[in-house]
Amino acid sequence: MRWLHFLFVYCINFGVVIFTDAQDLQRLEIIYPPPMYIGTPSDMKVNRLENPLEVNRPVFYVPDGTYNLALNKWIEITGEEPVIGDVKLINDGDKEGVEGSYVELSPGHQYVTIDLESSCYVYAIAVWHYHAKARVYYDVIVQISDDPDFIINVHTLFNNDYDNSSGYGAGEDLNYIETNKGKLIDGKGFKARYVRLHSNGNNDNDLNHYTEVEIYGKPAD
Amino acid sequence: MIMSMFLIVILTMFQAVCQVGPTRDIVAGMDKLLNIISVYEYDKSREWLQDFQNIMNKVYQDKEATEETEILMLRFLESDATLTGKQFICKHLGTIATKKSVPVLNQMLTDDKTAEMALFVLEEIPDPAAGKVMRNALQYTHEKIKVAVINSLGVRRDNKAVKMLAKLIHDRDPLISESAISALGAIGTHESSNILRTVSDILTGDQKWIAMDAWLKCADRFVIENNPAEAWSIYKEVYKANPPVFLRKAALRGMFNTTTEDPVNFIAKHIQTNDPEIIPAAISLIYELPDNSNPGRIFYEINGLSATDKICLLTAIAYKGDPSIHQAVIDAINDNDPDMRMAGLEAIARTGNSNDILWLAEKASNLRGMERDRARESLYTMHGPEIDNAILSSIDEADLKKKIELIKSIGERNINSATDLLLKLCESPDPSVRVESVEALGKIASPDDLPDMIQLLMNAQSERERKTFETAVYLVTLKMPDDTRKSRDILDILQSVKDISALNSLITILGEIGDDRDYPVLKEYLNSEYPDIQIAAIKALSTWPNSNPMNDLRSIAEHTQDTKKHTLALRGYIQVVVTDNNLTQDQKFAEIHHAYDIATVIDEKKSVLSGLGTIASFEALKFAESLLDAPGLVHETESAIMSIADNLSWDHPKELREELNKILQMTDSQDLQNEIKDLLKSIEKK
Repeated sequence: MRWLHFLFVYCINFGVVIFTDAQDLQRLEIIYPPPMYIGTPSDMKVNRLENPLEVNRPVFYVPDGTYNLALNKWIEITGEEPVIGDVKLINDGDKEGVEGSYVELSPGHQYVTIDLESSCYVYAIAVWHYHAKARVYYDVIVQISDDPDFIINVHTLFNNDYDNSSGYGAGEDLNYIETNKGKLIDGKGFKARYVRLHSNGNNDNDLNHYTEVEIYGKPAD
Repeated sequence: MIMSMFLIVILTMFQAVCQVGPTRDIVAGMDKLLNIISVYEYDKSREWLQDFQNIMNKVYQDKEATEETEILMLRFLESDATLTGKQFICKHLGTIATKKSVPVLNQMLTDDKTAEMALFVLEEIPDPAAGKVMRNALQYTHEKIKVAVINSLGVRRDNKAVKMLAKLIHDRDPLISESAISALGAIGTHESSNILRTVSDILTGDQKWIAMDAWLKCADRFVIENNPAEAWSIYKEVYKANPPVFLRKAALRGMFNTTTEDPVNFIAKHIQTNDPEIIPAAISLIYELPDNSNPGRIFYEINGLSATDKICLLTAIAYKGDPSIHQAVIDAINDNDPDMRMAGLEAIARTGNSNDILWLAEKASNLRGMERDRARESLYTMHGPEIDNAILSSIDEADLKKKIELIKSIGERNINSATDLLLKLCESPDPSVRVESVEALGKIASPDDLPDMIQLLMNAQSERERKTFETAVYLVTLKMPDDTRKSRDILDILQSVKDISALNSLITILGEIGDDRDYPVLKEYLNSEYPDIQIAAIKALSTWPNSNPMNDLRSIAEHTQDTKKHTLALRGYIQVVVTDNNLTQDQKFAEIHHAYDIATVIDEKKSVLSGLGTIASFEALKFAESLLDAPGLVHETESAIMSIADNLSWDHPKELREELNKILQMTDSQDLQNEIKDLLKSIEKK
């Protein structure tokens, strides 16, 4: 059943016209925070960077009843404690790019793991690292799994670690500039309980930040 | 008596003889260094600098050496040493120069190349002879040097130069004229002040304001010399003359510091001027009021301020801790203007009292973003022991959201006396209260509380709580001195723990502590009858601070049939090898090579290649080359090659160049070729 679901959502979101009951789908409405900067960022000297002028987010469809599963769920982080802020800020629904809305994690490769508390179909993940200024976060990897250790049944949804420095394989995805619209990642309808987001500093400093993570999906049972 | 006198004489002579040696050494050392400095240029090494500073420190403590050094330095200045060397020496001669230096420096004044460095020394010589040669120099030096001489006379505060400088105010060259005005201000005598008062009236345009600026300096000097009345009259006159805003602000500040009026009245009066340029300056004076001035009444007396000025005023009065504006602060927090709310939330930290605690906790729980942070910050920084007591006594009556904020504040305020209360709250029926209390305990608990905390961990009612306890217990172990056995309280009960989840947590904490003495204990758990415990032990050893667990992790990865254990052990094996800086590059390579051999699936091989990329050895590079054709690993292998090559490029550029050229010949990958070419170019530059 899940593969049918997957094929269905995949085809719709990538413009493949197939026979379907369109009433089962809804447009994914993400509420964007106000932008914190305007204009086209200057040359950032970041390799494999998505051209900000060519980024045009298509309308994204998800099954009816999809909602943000991540809101206020339990999150584990690597490192002892956040450098700034509270882990709870990652999924408190506040996406503003101002102080008090984001958490700053230790430098280097770090990851956060969100426990959805039960197995869920994941259709989309929206991530805002830090959008108060035009920044690029390195080695962004987004994985989902039913296994808290991410060994078994792991799906990598996004990976721009092009040099495999984090050890999860060389990613094909491009680096991107943070904006108030965050990064929308296709969840492909996989079933998972845990979502893990990696990063490895940014083009300004070695630190890692999260303003908000939204995981759009539905409980599997 | 005679005997005593004789002994004193002998001792003094002995002391003098003893000093001859060191003095001679100091002078000889200085002489040697001056020889080296005689050829110094800006683009040359200054490796002698530390020796020079060491010798100068000895010179300052030895009067005879000081005199000798002055002579040596003067000889140096007369020699054909480089100008850069002379400039350097002048900086140091200035610290010891006496009247003896004046003739040489006078000679240097006649040469444009050496005049400025000579002035630097002359400024420092207290003897009147130095002033005399400088005043004489005014007669013969040309414009550029004359300006420097005038400035130096100002620095020396040479009152004999006042009349000469007064004449130079009317010089055709504006640089000379303006320098003379400034120098008169710096001299700051009654005579120079009177001259500046007169010229301020006569001059026009920028020169008028330069004269007033100099006149303010005279006033500042009068304040230092305890003559506030005369200073005040100058400040007032400058203020009334309506000069540019920077001068008005300086004059206002001067008036504030010398007025006989009540300083709070003074500030209030100037805020009421309705002059948008002066109001912020007047408000900023509140910060300079003495403690207990209670400037709060200004806030209530003055109406019609702009929103920005009102925020500045509230912030300034709150900074002085005046409780009389408490109600104004509360109103500000409830204002519609977000900037005003932020100012109010900040101000409450200094003006609030114990009655505000619950109310502020409510704000912290309801607000978002910066305002929530500001409300919390104020809750965490409000002064006074009664605040701590109010927080502790309010917890019982507070509703859930406020209770959580109050518990959070216990940790942030470091209320050590609340440990027992928090331990009690860890058993609250509400899970969010329990989790928040555990987090606060992690901040305030002492190592003595560890047994209680561990007991609570074992009774944790959810995974979330247990994990919070793991962090809290670990944070408290960090408070123990380095040489103590941080794990002792865990080890005391470890054997008796039967609950798998609790045991899992304790093993995790032992892994975070990473004490080699605990390693045998953890190793035992690798063979536990419970798979979850085995996995917990593997994970604990994977974060070990050195490579001691390497063999055990490798053995598990080699022999286990369990996929999860295999992958976790392999990842841990790679991790401990890569992070242990005591292993040589060859040792690391041998282990990583072995890890590659036991990796069973492609994802594991990718992890190994990531580890391989951290090594700096040609063997590692060759091994990576051999994998270029490995299916499914092309990008990872290429990345490993480039990473290893980058590691080798500093220490072995020549050999690396050869090896990279070989790879260039054998690879068809355009990406790899381009990256290698870029690296070769950067090696050439190095």
